[in-house]
Amino acid sequence: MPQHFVNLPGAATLPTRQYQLTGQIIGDLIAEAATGVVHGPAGTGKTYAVQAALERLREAAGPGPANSPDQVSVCTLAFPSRPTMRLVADELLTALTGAAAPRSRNRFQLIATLVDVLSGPRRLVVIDEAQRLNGDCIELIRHLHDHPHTRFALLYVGGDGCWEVLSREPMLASRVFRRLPFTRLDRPAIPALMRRYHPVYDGAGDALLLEIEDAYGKGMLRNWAVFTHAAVGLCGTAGTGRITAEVAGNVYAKLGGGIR
Amino acid sequence: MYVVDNAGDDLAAVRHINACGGPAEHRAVLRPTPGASDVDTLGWDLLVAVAKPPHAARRERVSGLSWEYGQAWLDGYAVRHMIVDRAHLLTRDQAGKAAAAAARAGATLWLLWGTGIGPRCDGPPHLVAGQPAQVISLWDFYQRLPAAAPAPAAEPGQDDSWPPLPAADFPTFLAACRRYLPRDQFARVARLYYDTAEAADAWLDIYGAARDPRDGQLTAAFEGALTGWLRDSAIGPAPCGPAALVRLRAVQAALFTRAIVLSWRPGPLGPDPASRLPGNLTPQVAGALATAVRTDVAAATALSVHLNHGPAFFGVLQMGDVAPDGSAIRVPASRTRPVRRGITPGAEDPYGQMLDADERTWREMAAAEPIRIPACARALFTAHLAYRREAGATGTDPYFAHPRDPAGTPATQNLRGALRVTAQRIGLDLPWMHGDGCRHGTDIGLTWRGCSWPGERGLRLARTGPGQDPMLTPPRGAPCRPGWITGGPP
Repeated sequence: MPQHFVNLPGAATLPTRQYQLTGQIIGDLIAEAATGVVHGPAGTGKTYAVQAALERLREAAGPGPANSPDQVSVCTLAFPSRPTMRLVADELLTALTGAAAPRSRNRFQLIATLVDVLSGPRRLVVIDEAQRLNGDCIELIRHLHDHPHTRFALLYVGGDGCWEVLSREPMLASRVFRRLPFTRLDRPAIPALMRRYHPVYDGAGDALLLEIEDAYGKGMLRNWAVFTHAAVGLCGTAGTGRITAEVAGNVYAKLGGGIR
Repeated sequence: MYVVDNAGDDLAAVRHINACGGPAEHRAVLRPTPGASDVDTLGWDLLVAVAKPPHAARRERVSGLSWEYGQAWLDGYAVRHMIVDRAHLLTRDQAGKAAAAAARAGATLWLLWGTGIGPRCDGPPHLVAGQPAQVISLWDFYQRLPAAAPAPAAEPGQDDSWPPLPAADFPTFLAACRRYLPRDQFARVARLYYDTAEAADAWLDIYGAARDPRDGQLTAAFEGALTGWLRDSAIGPAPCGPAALVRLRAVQAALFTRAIVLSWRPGPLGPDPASRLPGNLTPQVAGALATAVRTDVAAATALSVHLNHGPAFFGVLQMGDVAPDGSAIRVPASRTRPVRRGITPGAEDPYGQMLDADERTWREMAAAEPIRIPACARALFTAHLAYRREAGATGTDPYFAHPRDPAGTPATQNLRGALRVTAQRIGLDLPWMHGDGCRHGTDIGLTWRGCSWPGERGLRLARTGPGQDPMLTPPRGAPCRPGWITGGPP
């Protein structure tokens, strides 16, 4: 399984609806060589869910030649802020081939090589932090995806503003085959979810867990991971294996007084 | 020119143009490289639109001539519809150049105009190219330019349904077929046999006197004409080895009734000699040659493959010799034949042998009947015709010209090198590229490698009368059961 945020020991994967849908959506995209978007606020578990789905994909495929029908080659990319079209092409070629593109190649040759590479075995290209792409970069990726010779699934994963950026481009609107917005956790479901999340919450009362949610969690899995990491440490120091109101208060103090 | 209003940048439009086909369907889909605003890059895109590999222009060192060659291939393929995807991203220069290329090719231009007009776009589509344009909807686009029809499926059993044919020579071939083949299969063989024999009779009647009245021998002109007829009409177009073998036997029998012996030695041709009989310029070879950007290289290699000749005499071809549709090449017999430097007429061996080979080659080039080009390769010749016309060549100008000195330097040497490179690239092993020492094919399992169309197939017109060919009177052995030339019953 992929690592949790802050590498939290003992944490379990929460099978939320969005987490489960992510795997199904990726399967659909691969089957249709289509485009999908997974987006939502930072810390809601998008990247974790995608990484877990990709790992399940790798495990399901098993060993075999790269061009066998059940094998999907996954290529994950993330670009810095405001990338250029050339940078996207270079990074993509490097990720696909393992070798850096020669600087002497012009844009035409680079894209022709990318088309050639992407026309091979089945692939899934995952672009993380997709909100950083601008129109030119999206146009390049569209060109590659629409090319009759290429066949790959494309998944944009992005945080705040991702859907706004992507939906601004009409070229994407008609091409998004699957879209999955990640949202904050439902407050009423928090106590049950957190008891499954980590042993430190076993036996904790609903009121305490909801108080932590209101004070720090805010429906964000990343916040809960940070809180849990600190709580586990303090529980160990206090010699108790379960969270209490006192431990929670100390955690707030370590995390800025609970001010979010 | 049509501007297709693709306001929603619909994915269905992309799928439709992907299904519109390519040059073989007389259509070209131009997909501009994203972010490239120069006309050179669009020229390379145009080459890709006419089915050239993206790196071909660079490999052939003609990157700077992309528009010239792109235009030639548009003409060569008779492209009638040129579709430009994402046309709203083109600059004014790019759009103008694309529109001009389509207009010169006589093609309708379809500009797919999506939303999101970028900063590089100079204005509305109908002003970009400076031509009147009709704005139509996507639905109209689909109706006016439907997707290309799928290629017809090959008829089942077209090639492999031929029965194994006996190895009997032509006098007893049909009898052996009657004896060993089932009735329906024999009927098929007999039908093709008699049709070919009748065609051979008709051709011989039209041709007239085949012998020199002075010595009674077959004339060199007849040999050349017969080779052309076998290559272009009788045997070469056969779809498979067995069909070619039946045709050959029929031709042999028809010629024999006129006291002309066309012998065939299948022994040196390898394990499946009949498969060597059909022509070499197949759709697969033509398709591989069509990946070349240089039109002269594609046309010259196709001609070399078709004739099994080197390019020694290609320099004599003139623009007017090539049919406008690329279906035929006719070299008048009166055309001055180039003489090899250093070899004087009347030379003795080995130069005499070279002269003989040259004489045969020339007779096949300048035969009474034109060289017929298979339909699959005609676009290669029309493309070069268009390229030369664009370069200002007229009817009497050379069809193959030296790229840097069209007027002064013969193209032969340049073509020879380019042909070798092209043949190696697409995996062709042309017999003329080998020296005399390779004739017996010691490097390919002792498979004969003859340097002429009949020679490559083990065919030979026997000399009769004084100095008669010794192979005409072989020692008679005991009659035996015939072998099988295309496989046989277990």
